[in-house]
Amino acid sequence: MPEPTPARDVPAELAEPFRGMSGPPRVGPGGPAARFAGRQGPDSLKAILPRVAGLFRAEAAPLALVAFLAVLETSLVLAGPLLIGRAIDRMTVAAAADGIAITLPGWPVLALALAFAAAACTSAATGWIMAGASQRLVGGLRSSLFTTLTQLPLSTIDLRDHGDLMSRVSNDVDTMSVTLAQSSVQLLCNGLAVLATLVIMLSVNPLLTLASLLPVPLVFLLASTITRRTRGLFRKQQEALGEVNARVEEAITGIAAVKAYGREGLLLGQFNEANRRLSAVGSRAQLWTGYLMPIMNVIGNLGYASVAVAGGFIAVSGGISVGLVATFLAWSRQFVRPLNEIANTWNTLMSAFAGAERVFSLLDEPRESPDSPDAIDLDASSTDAAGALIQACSDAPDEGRSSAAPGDITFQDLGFSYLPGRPVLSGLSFRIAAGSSLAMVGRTGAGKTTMASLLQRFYEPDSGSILIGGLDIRRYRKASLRRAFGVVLQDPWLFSGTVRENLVYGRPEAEGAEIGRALEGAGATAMVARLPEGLDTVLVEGGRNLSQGERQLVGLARALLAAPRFLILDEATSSIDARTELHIQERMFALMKGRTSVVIAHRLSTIRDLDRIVVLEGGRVVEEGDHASLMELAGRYAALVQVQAGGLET
Amino acid sequence: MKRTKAATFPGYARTFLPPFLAALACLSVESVCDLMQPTLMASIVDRGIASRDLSAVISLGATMLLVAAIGAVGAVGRNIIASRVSWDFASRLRSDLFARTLHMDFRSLEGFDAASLVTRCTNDVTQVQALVNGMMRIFAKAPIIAIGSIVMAARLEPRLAPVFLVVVPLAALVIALNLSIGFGRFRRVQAALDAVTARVREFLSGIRLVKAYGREDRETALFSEANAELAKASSSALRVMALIGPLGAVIVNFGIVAVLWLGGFEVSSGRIPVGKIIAFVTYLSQLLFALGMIQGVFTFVVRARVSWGRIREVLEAGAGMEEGGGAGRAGGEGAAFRVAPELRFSQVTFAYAGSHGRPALEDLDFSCEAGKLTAIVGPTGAGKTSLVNLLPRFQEPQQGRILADGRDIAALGLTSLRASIALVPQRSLLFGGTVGGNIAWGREAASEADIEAAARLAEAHEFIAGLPLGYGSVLGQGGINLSGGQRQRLALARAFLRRPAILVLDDATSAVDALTESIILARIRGMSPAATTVVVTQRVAAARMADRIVVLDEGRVAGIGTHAELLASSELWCDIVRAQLGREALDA
Repeated sequence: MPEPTPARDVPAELAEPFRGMSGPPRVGPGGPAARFAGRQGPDSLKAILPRVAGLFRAEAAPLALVAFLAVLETSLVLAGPLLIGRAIDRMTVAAAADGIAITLPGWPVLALALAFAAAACTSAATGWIMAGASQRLVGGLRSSLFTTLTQLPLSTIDLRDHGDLMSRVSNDVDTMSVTLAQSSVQLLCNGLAVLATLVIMLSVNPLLTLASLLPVPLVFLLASTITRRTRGLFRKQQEALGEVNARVEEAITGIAAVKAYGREGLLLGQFNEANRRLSAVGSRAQLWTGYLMPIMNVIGNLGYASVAVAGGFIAVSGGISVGLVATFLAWSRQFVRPLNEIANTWNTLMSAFAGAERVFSLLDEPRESPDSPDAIDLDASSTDAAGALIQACSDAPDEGRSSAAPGDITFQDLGFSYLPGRPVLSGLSFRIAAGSSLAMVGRTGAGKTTMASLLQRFYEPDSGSILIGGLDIRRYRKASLRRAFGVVLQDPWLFSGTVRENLVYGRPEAEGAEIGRALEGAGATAMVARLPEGLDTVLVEGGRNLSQGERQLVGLARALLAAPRFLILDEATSSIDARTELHIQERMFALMKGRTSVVIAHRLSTIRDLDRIVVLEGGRVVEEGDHASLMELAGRYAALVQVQAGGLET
Repeated sequence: MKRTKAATFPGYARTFLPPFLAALACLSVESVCDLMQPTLMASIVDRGIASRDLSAVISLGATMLLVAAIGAVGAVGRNIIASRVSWDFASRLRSDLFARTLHMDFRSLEGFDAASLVTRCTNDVTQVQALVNGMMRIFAKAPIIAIGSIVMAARLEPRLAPVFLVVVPLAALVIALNLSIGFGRFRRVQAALDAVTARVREFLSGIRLVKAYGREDRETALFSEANAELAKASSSALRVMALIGPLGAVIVNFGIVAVLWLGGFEVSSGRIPVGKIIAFVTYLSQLLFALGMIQGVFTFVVRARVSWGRIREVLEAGAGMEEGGGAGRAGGEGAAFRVAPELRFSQVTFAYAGSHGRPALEDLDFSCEAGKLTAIVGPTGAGKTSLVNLLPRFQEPQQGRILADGRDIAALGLTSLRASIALVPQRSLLFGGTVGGNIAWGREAASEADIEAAARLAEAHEFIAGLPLGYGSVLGQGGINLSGGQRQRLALARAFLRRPAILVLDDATSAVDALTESIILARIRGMSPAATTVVVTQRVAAARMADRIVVLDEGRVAGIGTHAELLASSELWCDIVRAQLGREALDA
């Protein structure tokens, strides 16, 4: 008897064309195509299989129970036709005996009722257990994937398409756990059903079995023909879809430019071209897959008819009973269906393995290098930092220490490149004295922002080292090192939530008065007061409902509230007007007193009063000194100042 | 689903309803053929086997094959139609959606986040397409088979029909249960899945911040919360399905048992031939199959409904607010400006939709001389960007007019107006493709020499020449990364290449160092033919190079004039200069 399709199971006829296209939102243009590359199947099943097995071991007991119940259910379903046949035979015998038999349909019907009831129970139990087990698996796997994401080095994440990462956490995990668990059970049941049906059929009547087997080669022929036809088409479809996605993404990201330049027509043309290609190849792929089920149905009917005719012949010649023909008719349906499903399940299973491969490859990405066991904490607070650090340093082994003061930051012969062979920094050396402020000046691409990333160990230098308090920064615990720095970027990331939640991000325990002081320090008090709900104004993701300048003010206040020991302002006030910046500066200088600070700014007015200024060029320091001495030097810095001041200061 | 669509878009219905109905017709043929099989089989048993009539077996067997063949023709037909129609439909929907998005005004655009717009144009369309496709295939077949098997069975043997009186209402109850319980649960799953994705997205975009403040714990906790909700929602939905599915099966299967039981008496007393019993049982099996099918439709309907809702938001946001309140794209008068025009703001007041309090710009009244450079300066939130966005009519002022050489820009066609303007926005937007392609983006026909000249003008040639493949270097994912200042210079080169009559730079040199900036501004002033240039800037040095400086404060003009004039007349300007250049700058 046909069983109801499990809820998760998409009708096979529909699943194929949309495989890899459905699911949660995808962003990256490279995503779909990249995903599909793996869709065909995993590269090495051998490597994946043991890991999948290991993963499923956590739910071994429920899964084993599911497998057992599934086998039981299959047997019960198989018993159905047998019992129906018996019941019918008893009827015909009774009919032939002219109503003499009184205990009419009797035990086969009762047994059938029992079998149906039991099958329903096992099916419900299977589904129930499976729902729990698979969701626990998926949930656990998602958690470990997310944890992996939090532990990956920035250099890895920067290189990845975010849409692709997102899809691994949502789609692939799901495909992998649910599909894998479900398909394995299905494969087991269907295999069993085919085998058992075959054995029973052969033992009952080899001749009718032959008639039932007639459609089998046709099924295989059909499946292989269609798969051969569609494989290439689906790949092309994914490519075309990737192209369409890329066009949309590009247009929407650049919509201001598109409109300003009036290029809507051009983009629409390009899009329609890609869209037309997608549609052409997509409908062809769907056409071919679409033939699978109806033709399979015809083959099924063919088998049905051949059993009916053959059975008719044999029955007429008195070889077998009518009930047996009825049994074979049911079996012939039951035989073709699982065969078809096995072919389907196999494909699903392969794509699930491919999903597993993508999930594992993410889990296998090298994490940020762990802290060495003897790593020490870099005290984050600015007040009693010096003492604590001296303490920490004296606890630490002597090697690698110099006579530097505790809060000194020293760059030693630093070399770094994002792409091999294209150095951003080379042989960079300079020192920031504890408690002093330093400005970094240089033309775009001089490596100023890179330096901030290196200080926080988001990236590791190719050569040379950075010392804090005379100790290589790799000797500090990473978390303590990062917390010691307050970095304000040109585009500070604000997340969805209230302004207050954004402000206390670095110090969740901060209270009203402290928040007020931080806002004051960042010159953001008035701006926040202007917001409709003040501190409780809800920001959307990325803080898009604030202007760039306003976002920078919030970012600044957030950094101040965290009371970091070192402050790095990376173009942090570039979109704030000069007058507000001046107000901020007055207060900032007070805050920066005693705090080692690095300011990166193009607007030289921002930095002229800082203790020291280094001018970077070609990845190295070319000038160094305070404003006055650099002006005297009349070098690059002086030239820059002259330009900004419009020659006023000469 | 289909009805909603037709209501919004009669055009869609007109185009797609006929083939849709044709597909349904083919589907019906196919279903009827499927439904005839058991009846034919009953005849084989009762007329052929029972009366030992071989010729009847053969002729009925042949009929069965013929019917199967006719069914196959129907199946092939609906397959061809469904494949074509669902893709044509999706293609057109996608195209319409994309066009709407492109032509939506800025106010509406700001309501969507960019990533979600991309999703709506791509993935959401796919989801709706899956449903439309399914409607023409299996979803419509399930009810036909369900009802058809009931009818056929009842006609075949009315005496057994009372079984249906019990089975059908119960089966209907199961379907109703399915709908009422399942639908809400699958919606919850979809929402939870979206939430999980959103958490990952937000984490990835803010990763620097998370790491800098060591707040991985917070992000993990938030994720775990969303993840737990998803697991809970999923297993609850799956469990309900796990119970309802077998419930439907057991109802129909007990129908089979009842048929055998009741039929047993009838057959043995000779009132019903045995073949009909077999056929009856087969019909019940088909009913069961159809019930299972209906259950499988859920995920599709839920997903498609969510997606359709999101698509409609875009279509509706775009529908009422086509750009160009005064004169549309095609409408309006006049050709693009070839020669730099004078720009005059005449009592312009502008407020953002839904904003309370004072407008972003209030009663602006000034002009920018033809071919000269005007600088707009002022504190954060003064309305500088709002002001320049009025020029290409990204936004329309509520009061007042903006005149270009005396012609109201509201009366100009958007196309010709924007063709006259090159605007470089605050955040420079580069597209995938080559460096050269990005510069030429605003003017496809540009020659290589033109591109290089524009790059030189923007001080970009030097660094481009230093790239591994020069102008042919590929940008974006997998390509080279440019620094903020380099990106800005490419955006400037793109603007220069257009040789615009009006050039608008919205703080477009903020990441460029001062020296380079001054060189670029000097080049703009020397550009031939000259462009009327409006520059928003934070830097005094840049503003000083302008022929006229407009100081904005809280949406009003707080001073107009040259640097020297403003030093004498504007307190705010003096503040700004002092802040940037120090006290001595004022004394000089």
